[in-house]
Amino acid sequence: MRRSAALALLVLSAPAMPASRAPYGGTLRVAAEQDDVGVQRLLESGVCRLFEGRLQGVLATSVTATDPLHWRVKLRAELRLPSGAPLTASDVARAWQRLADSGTRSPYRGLLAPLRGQGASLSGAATKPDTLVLPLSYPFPDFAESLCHPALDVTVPVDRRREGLGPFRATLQPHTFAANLQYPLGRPYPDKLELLPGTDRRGDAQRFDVRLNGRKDGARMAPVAPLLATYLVYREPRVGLDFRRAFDGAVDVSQLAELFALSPSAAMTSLLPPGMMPQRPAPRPFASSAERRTLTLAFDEASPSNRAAAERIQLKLNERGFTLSLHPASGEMLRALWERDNFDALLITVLLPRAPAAALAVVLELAGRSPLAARELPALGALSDAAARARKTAERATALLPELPLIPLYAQGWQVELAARVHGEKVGDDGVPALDELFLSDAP
Amino acid sequence: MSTPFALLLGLTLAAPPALDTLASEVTRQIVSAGAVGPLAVLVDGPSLPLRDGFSTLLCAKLASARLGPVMLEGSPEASEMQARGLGMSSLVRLRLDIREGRAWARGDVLGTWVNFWSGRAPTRPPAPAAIVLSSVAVDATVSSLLFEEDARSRAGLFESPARAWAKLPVRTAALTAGDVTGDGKAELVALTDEELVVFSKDGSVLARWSLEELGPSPTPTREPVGVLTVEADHRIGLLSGTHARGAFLLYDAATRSLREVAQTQTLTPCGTAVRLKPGENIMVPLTPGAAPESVACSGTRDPLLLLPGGTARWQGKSLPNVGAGSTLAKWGGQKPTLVSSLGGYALVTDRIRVGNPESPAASAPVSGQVMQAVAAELDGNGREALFLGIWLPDGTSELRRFEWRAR
Repeated sequence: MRRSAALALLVLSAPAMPASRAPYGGTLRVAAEQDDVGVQRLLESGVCRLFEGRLQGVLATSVTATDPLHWRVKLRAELRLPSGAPLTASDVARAWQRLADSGTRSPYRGLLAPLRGQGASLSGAATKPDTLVLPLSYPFPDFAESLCHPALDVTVPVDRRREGLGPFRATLQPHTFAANLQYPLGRPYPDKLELLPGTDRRGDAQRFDVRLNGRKDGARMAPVAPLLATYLVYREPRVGLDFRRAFDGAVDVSQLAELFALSPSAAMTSLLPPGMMPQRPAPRPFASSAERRTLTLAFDEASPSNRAAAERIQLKLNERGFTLSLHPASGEMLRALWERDNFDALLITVLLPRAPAAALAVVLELAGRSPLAARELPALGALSDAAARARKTAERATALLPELPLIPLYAQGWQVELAARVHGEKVGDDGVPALDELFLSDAP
Repeated sequence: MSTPFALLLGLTLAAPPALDTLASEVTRQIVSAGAVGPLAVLVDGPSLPLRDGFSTLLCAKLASARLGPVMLEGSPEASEMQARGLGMSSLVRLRLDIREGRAWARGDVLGTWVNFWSGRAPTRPPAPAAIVLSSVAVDATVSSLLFEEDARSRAGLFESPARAWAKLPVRTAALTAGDVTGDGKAELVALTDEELVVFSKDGSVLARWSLEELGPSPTPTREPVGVLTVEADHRIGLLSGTHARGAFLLYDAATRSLREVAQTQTLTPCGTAVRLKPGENIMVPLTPGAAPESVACSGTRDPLLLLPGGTARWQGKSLPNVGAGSTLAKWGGQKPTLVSSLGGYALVTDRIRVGNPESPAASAPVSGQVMQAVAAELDGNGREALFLGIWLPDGTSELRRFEWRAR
């Protein structure tokens, strides 16, 4: 009987939640920007996702290596976009081709770097309507994980826009989405989703059920794998040879991560984030002098972390002779500046793949050193043991860092705030919040 | 059943000095370590009466220190996840021992700050983190509690074996039992989104059947949902929320395999013909009636209907706080008994209760969330055992077996 007393306490202390099966229905109001990867994944999907410790097929039923140099992606039968158009292996190949094209610049081209011809082979990859065979230039065991990265989500041109197959689909009303009942992983629980962009800036705290990256302190935040990595990328001809030394002497990146980046965040003093490789000791501030010059530092105006970091860098480098003019830019404009090499310095955030070797490929693209990827990745891919591959990647990342025109700053995870009626919170193994798993306890 | 709080109060008033002193010292150490409430408490000990007596005193003192104690049961390894799942801020893990004439309490206190969005990274905060160690001289009460015969060791709900009866790599969608092989004894049948598995009485796999042939549902459910029946002619009927159609399967003893003998979109569990509502986790009866999440019967014509919202309907009554893992069992007579899980979403620790959920005759903790339950006699010993389908946080599931021993 005394055991029952403990039970009573346990039950009374448990949150009062009457049901155990998640109810369907209701409208989920999400305060986030539409270009957030967490939101993107509500409207489109990739062939797979990293979830609950395994590679889970989304558009695909399997992603398998037929031999070390060939990967086969088998799509689910009868995939259809919300508009009704079929989604075939050719569509997947064409979507990836956009990223792989030599005319396109994206750090995420690094994900496809092991492909034979760096993506030129994609044109013949669709061997059947539901099958792609991807030939690699060299073995790369992390390739399947790379295919699950959100940058390789599949979208198809439909009526002058691009449409994806996600748990929600667009409606005629702006920022309003309806549950996609045909979503291969099962329809989402809410019937409807309303996106509330700019909610944080309006401080309208009462209207949302979920808020992404809204404020520094929240009751329900996400200590997830920090894979959103921010780098300061610079063009040495413009900033001068002494810029990096001045930065190292003036800016404490630990302080940037701790005081200026939204949590959860971690300082990066090595090329890849903590968790992928050991961090070297942060250089202690030291005196340095440089010829006074004026530079522009561009950053994503939608990122409060990057804005705060840019302002801090501006202040600290000013003491070392650099007058930094801050240039807030839209995400699209920032990407355009980077693609055209039309910048002095910019802060850019990338979602790194979880596998260190694949992450190194992305960072090398970001640094504008894609030929280095072709040189480095074969040796890494030759190591079949994941731990050995990670160790070797860390070693190479340490060796490469001084020659790359970028400075690692901090890695962040998502911060997610949920209203009391929202349940089902889960996060993918790639750190991206799985918002499609959420449900409302008071759904009708 | 007596009011638990009256028992607590009674014990507090009759506090044995040695245990009281030990509980006070342990509380002091916990407070000094900077523990913040709510505080989960796990105590293990050489005898249940001693453990429970000490736990009761300790909780009273922790409550006085405004630490909001909540007792846990289970293993020390699992307790951290349990504490996190319950939203606790700190956890105390203690082991009571009697050595060299002294009663020792030893263990640790640690922080379990975590929000509900912990993902797969259950980080620990830097504080509190401290070792707890204290002892007192054994007195007569401690000796008495140590050697008191525990009546509960001979009656109640017990897990047997005390480990997973079977494991599945994905979550279970449905569970049932029936004579699949035609030998007059029941087998356990589990359904997932990927396959149907028949288990023999020792938990080994007798046969499995891939659901691939059933084709993907045009409107798949988000979570595994299904209906299973075992018909009088030994056919297994199945409906899956993620597949386009259902099927009847027949076991072939010669090849130890299952083969499809008919297609179906409806089944008749507990005498009511139902189909699955497309894209949702409820059944739709073909004749007007309530749409339950699942049904259970125990040879009676009055099935237990598990309804959305954590309620159930049975014997003309509506029962609140009945979780998905509930069923009827014939224990202690011909009248069926309600066996129910707790209501709650994504529980790290569930509880199975026998009898009235508000004042159960017995209960037992279960790691994970109980999503299916079935009572069945697989051993041919005349006693039904309880089989639970349990969802684990890592996306896999376990089948666990419980027995009821009458007092």
